[in-house]
Amino acid sequence: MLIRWERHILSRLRASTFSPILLGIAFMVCSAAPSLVRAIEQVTARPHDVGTTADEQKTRPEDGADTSIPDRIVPIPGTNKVRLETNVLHAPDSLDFVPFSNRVASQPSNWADVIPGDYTGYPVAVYGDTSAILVTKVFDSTIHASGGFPLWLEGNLTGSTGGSGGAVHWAVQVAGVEIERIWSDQWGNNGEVNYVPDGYGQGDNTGKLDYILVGPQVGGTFSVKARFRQALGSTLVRLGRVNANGQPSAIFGTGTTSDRVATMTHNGTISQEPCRVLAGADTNGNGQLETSEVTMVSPWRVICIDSASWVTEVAWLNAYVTVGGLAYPYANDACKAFLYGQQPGYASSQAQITIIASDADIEHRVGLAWNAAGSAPAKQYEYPNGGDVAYDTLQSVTVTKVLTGVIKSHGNDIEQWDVNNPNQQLKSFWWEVPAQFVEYDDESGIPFMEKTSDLWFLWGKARMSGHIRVEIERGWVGGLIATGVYFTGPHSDLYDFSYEQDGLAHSASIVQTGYSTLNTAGYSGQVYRNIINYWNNEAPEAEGHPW
Amino acid sequence: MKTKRFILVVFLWLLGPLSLAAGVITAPDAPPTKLEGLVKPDWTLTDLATTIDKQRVKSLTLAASRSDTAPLRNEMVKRMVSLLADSRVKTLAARKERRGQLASVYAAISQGGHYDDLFVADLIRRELVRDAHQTLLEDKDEIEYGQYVDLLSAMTIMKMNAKVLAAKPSAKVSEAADLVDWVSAVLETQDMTESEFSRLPQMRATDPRTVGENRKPMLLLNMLLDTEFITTVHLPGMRQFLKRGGKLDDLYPHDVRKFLEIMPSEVRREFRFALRGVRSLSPVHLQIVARRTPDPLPLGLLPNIDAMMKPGGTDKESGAK
Repeated sequence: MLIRWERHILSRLRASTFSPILLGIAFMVCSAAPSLVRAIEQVTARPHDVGTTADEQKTRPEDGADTSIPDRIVPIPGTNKVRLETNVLHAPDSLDFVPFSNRVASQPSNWADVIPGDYTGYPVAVYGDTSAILVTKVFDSTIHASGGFPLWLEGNLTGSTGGSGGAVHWAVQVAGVEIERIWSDQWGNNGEVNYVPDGYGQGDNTGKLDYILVGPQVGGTFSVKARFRQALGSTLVRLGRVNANGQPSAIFGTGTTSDRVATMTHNGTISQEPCRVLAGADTNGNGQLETSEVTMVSPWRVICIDSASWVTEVAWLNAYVTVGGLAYPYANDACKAFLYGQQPGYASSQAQITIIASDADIEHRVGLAWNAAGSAPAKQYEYPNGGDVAYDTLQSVTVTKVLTGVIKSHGNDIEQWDVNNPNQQLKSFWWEVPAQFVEYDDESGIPFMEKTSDLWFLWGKARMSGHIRVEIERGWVGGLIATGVYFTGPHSDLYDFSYEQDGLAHSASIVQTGYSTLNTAGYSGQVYRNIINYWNNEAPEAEGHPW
Repeated sequence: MKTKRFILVVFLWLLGPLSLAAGVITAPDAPPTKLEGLVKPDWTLTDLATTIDKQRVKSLTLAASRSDTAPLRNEMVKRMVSLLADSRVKTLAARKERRGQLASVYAAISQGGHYDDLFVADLIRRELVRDAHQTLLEDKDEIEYGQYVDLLSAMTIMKMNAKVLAAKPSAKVSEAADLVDWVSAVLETQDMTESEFSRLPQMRATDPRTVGENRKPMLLLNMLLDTEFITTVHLPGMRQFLKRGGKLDDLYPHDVRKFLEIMPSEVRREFRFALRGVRSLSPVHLQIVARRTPDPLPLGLLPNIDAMMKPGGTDKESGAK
């Protein structure tokens, strides 16, 4: 939204037809490194003569700009932006910003040569977009502008006044730190497993989240790391919060940096209100990052689950599995297994398996003790294929729809057999059930009671695949009847929870974040896998004339 | 001819007041009898049931008036809870007697029309579920067990005076054809969204202590539905299973073959409760009823009656086996 608004402002400026004058300006953006800001201030304090052609350079002094007053670039507190303040004698009649990538070939290709300063590690090859520029004010003598970073732009002032004219190209280069990734170091092995962007888990959250859930290390210290695109130098990086206006409002714990990586730690209670990674320059030299010094706020969030939150949700889950069990016996049983780390009563066996972080079933990459390579040991509980969970699952509306769909898709096979074998009474067909997700969200048949059945709370969305055997019989008075439908194949689900849901699932997602560093006193919260291996199990609801 | 008709009209005109005076029928809008004036603090269930029967009390309420203070209301609820808890018995003969008494009290209090009346009425249903469960496990008397099933089947929400659950008068509520329509209509009158209501069962809302203390109509409705669920699916399903020759030992969670053999699909489909996502009887429903654990309750909830009386207390009988 903001980008669109900025673009709108710029288009209005371009369209204006003020009386001609001079100047151009361009800018750019964010800087967290104070040394860099200082370097830029030096640069911009030079006479504005970095035009790209002899004519353009010549027009600058004639514009009447007071070059004795240096331009200033100052960070805008609470943002990842800087503001360029320059002085001109007249307001420009129009101001065009042209992306640096569009500059003419005669312009110097390496602006670092033109503007002094140490740009090692900065993205000199990255160009900004004019939409990121925001002209905040246009005064008679001052232009205030700011933009996102990293950005290289040319300001192209057109028009003429006082005998001078023509376009004046300006180039101002500002760079700053840009964050690349944030990850949790819950197990202290520095494994980049649970991270943003795009590394928080999959499942129903694919492509949706801008945060990671983070549990503390053993002992209660939160450890979060972040990598930047530039060397951090003296930049300070901390966990903190921003208010509703995006302004930094609190800073937690301490931090260290090494080249492009920052390590942030915090030992203490912390509410679940999301944190962000904040960076900035220690302008007052007190060794602390203060909210007024922050020049970069991470676009991604970090939700820390501390011991107090964990204990609260464990208590609630404990109450649920103690009191509940009437309407949702399977779900209650599975929740007990999750909370206490025990085998569900309806399961008949368990096995040790390894789960990898990229498993598509995982909602959040918590609830398992990941090693640095992104794999973790887990339990797999198997429900007997002749047991009640297997029975209720196979006769559910959800699975019946799947199996009926397979049979319907082979309606022609049945008809062909009917036509070609008029004297044959019985026929068995084997058809594949393609691998797919099945979601038990409407077993009740009542719109407002969707997602309320025991199977929904047990499975949610599960995977199934395999094949069916369908027994077809020719009726006495004609017509065909499916006398039996038998399914063979696995039906499985990773038992984990999404923080995005509310109620019990939300609480359970907090409990699972505490595994394996907070769980104590017999409580677990470990994610596990449920599976049924069907073998020629009859699917009674799929009988009849499904095609 | 005209004279005969006149006599008939006069007779019918007089019949109503005379019947009321004789206590044969109760006027539909007659105010319910107040418990406070009826029950002495040391009364037993037998005393209450006897009084209700003798005085032909058709409608009994715990709420003396709208201006009742919360402490007084709570005192009435606690008195009833105490009365129910103290009336628990262990022998089959004693349970038979208690069943009749509970039925009498339920008939009156389920028509009381206030939140607390419905709450206590449902506790009575749960006491009957508890007795049915014990009868099933200890006495293995299918006929006696069937008496409970029949009685509880008649105690449906639809027959209660449950208007208080609707936030305002609604034609949809009064004209609902079945329980699903009725619940949907009640929700329409409440601030609670359907989505919020659908999530209630997974919360602690079904704990009577929570429902009693919070006095939220939708929590109470959810509690009523839980009881309705077990009296619609679990208990009658078990009776059908026994009638068809099933034994409790045939119910094994890892092998459903015997259950399926005894209960074919057309029979299983007779037991459904869509408000809990159940379209047919599952073996797990019968396993719950037949559960033999230190906490024998299929509901797992009734011990909280005692907890309401004595915070931190436990069920008197649950640990006695």
